[in-house]
Amino acid sequence: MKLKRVMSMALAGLMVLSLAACGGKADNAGTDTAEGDSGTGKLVVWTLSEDLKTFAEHYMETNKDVEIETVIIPPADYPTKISAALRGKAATPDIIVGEPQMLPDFEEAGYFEDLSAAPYNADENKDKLVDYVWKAGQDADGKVRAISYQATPGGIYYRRDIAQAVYGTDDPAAIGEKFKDYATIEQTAKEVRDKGYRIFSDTGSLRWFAISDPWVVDGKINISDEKMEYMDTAVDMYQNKLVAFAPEWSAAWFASMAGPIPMNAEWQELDEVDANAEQTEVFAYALPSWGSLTIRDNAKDMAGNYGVCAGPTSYFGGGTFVGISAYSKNKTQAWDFLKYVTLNEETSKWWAESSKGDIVSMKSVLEEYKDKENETYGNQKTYQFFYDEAQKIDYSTVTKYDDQLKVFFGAAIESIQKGEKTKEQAMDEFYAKAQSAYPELTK
Amino acid sequence: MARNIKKTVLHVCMILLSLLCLFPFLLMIVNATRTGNEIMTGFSLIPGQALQDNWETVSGYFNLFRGLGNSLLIAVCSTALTAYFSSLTAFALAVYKFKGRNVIFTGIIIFMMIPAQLGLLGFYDLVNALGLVDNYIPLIIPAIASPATVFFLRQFLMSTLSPALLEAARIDGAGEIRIFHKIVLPIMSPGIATMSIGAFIASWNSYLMPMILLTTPNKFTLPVMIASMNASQDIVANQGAIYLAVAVSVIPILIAFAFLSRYIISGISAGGVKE
Repeated sequence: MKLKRVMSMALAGLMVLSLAACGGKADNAGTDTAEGDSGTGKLVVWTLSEDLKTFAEHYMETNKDVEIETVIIPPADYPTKISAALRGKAATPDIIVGEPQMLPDFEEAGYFEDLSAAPYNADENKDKLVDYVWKAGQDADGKVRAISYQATPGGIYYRRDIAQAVYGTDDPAAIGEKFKDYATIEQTAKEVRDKGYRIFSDTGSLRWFAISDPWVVDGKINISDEKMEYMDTAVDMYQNKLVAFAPEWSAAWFASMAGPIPMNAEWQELDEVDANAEQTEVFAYALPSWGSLTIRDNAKDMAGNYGVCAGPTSYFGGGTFVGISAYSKNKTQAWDFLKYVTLNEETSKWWAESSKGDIVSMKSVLEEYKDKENETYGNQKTYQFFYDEAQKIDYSTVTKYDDQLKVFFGAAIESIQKGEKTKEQAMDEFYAKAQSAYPELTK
Repeated sequence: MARNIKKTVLHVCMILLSLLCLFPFLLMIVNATRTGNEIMTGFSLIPGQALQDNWETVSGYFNLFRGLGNSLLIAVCSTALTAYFSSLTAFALAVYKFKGRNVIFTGIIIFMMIPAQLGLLGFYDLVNALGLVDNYIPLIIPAIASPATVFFLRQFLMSTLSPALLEAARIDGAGEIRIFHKIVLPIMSPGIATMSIGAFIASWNSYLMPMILLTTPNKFTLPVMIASMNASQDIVANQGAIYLAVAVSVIPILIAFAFLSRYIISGISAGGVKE
C-alpha cells in the first residue's frame, strides 16, 4: 500500500513536471513560426520526391540571399495535405507540385496560380518543352498551371540475348515490330515461350498501352474495341501461362532483371519458392523512362544486354509538375525558382547529368544529347529514342478519369483471369464501380 | 508427474507464441543492417554489413534524434494531459450526483464512436484560424478530452472506490480536490497506467494529424519523418535505412511498455486481493 502511494505520487509529480515542460516548449514553438512567416526571401516547397530538394540546393548556390525549405510528402498523402492547407488559403507553401493525375483536381480547386497571365506569361516558352509535357500542365481552359522539368515517355525494354536466341536479331526496330499490336504481342509471347522464356513478368505490363483512345468521350465511358482487345489479350496470356507471374516491384521481378527466376513466384520471397519449380527468364519490361534507371540498377551482370523499343502505343507515366500556390505571398521569387527549374537550359543540362539519365522536358537539351550512347542498353542512343517517343505522345486522349478507370478495368481483368467472374459480370462491375466513383459519367 | 507435463506443454506453447511475436521485430532489426538490394531479393536472419551506410543515409535526410525528441515531447505531454484530466472527469462522473450527469455520460459514449479522421478538415480550419499551424499545441491540448479514457476510468472507479473512504476523508476535513489527489488518484492509478500506455502509443504512432499540421521539417515527428524519407529516395536503395529508422522509433515504445506493464500487472493483482 505504501509502495503504491509512493508510486502514484511519483507519477503525479512526473505529470506536473512534464506539463510545465511542455507549456514552456510550446510557447517557444509559437514564436518560431511567427518569425518564419515574417521573414523575407524564404520559399517553401512541398514536393513528392527528392528531385526538387536537389534543385533547391543547386539554386541556393547561386542565389545566396534566398532560403528554400523543401518538405517531401509521400504521394499518397500529398493531396490531403495540400487541400487541408490551401482550402484555408494558407500562405505556405509557395511552390506546390503534382503528378499528372493529381493536377485536374488541384486546378479545379484553384490551388495553382495562372501562369499564362502577366507577369509570368509562361506561354512564351511553349516551344522550349516537349509538347505533351506542356499540355499536361494546362488546365481545362488551356491556361498553364504547372510545368515539368522531366518527360516520362515509355518504351519496352528487352533482353538482347533472348532476342538473338529467338529471332536472330536484336535490332530495336525489328523487335519493335514484335510488339506492334496486341495480336502480335500474343504471337510473340508464344514464340518466346516455346524457347523457354516469358515475354513479360506479368500481364500488368500491358496496361500502359491502353491509352490509344480516350477512356471518356463527352461524359460517356468509352470502352472501345481496342480496350476489349487489351482485356482479351491479358486474359489469354494469363490463362495460357505466357507470363512469368512475377508482379511489378515484387522481389522476383527485381531478380528477373539479372537472371532466371522461378515461375509463379507472385509476391513470395525468393527462397520460399519451391526450388524445383520451373525456371524461366523474362524477355521484356514495359515501363516509362524512369524504369530504364530501375533496370540499370538491378541488371547486375546483364547490364549492356538490354535494348529499348517502342510498343503498340506511345505512352507516358508519372512526372513531377511544378506550380505556384495561388495564395503564396512570394510569387515573384517562386516564379524565379520555377523558371530556373523548368525553363532554364543550363539547369536542364545539369539535371540530365546529375540525375544520371532522367529524361528532361527541354527540347534543346534532348537534341544535344541525342547521340549519347547508353551502356546499359548496349550503347543504344536512348535519348534519341525517348525524344522520338515523347513527341509521338497524343495528349488529347488523356482525361482526368484515366487513372481510376484503369484501376477498375485492371480489377475486372484480374477477376476474369482467375475465373472468378465471366466477362459480362466483370464488365457490369466495372461500370458500376466507375459510375459510383464518378456519377457524372454515363455508360 | 502430470503437473510437470502440463508445465512443459505450457512452456512450449509460450515459447512458440513469444517467438511468433518477436520474429517480426528480429527481422526488422536484421533488415536494418542490410542494403536495400539484399532486402528486396531475399530474406535472411544473419545481419548484413550495411548498418553504418544505412545510418548515414538516414542522417543525410533527418536528424533522427530530433524526431525522437519531438515525438517524445508530444507523446509525454498529451499522455499526461489525458491521464490527469480524464481521471478528474471520471471522478466527478462516478462520485457526484448532479443534474445532467447521465446526459454528459451518454454524450461521452457517443463521442467515443466518432472516428477522429472525420473532423480532420474542420479541425485544420480551426487550427488555421487560431494561427496554430506548424505548432505542437493542436497536437497536445486536444488530448485533454479523451472520451474512451474517461469511460474506462469511470467504470474502474465505480467498482473499486468505496464511498466510505470519501466520507472518512471528508470527516477528517479534507477538501474535494485534496481527496481527489490524495485518495482517489492512488486508487485509480492502475487504471490510469493502463490507459496511459494506450494513449502514449496512439500519440507516438499518430501520423495523419502531425503530417497535416506540421510543415517545418525540423518539427516533424518520427512517423512523419520516416514517411517523408520513404518518399524521398528510390525505395529500393532506401529500404535498409527505413528499417533502421523504424527500429529506432520502436525502441521507446518497448521501453515504455516494459516499465508500465509491470506496474499495471502488480496494480491489478493488488486490487483483486483487496476486494
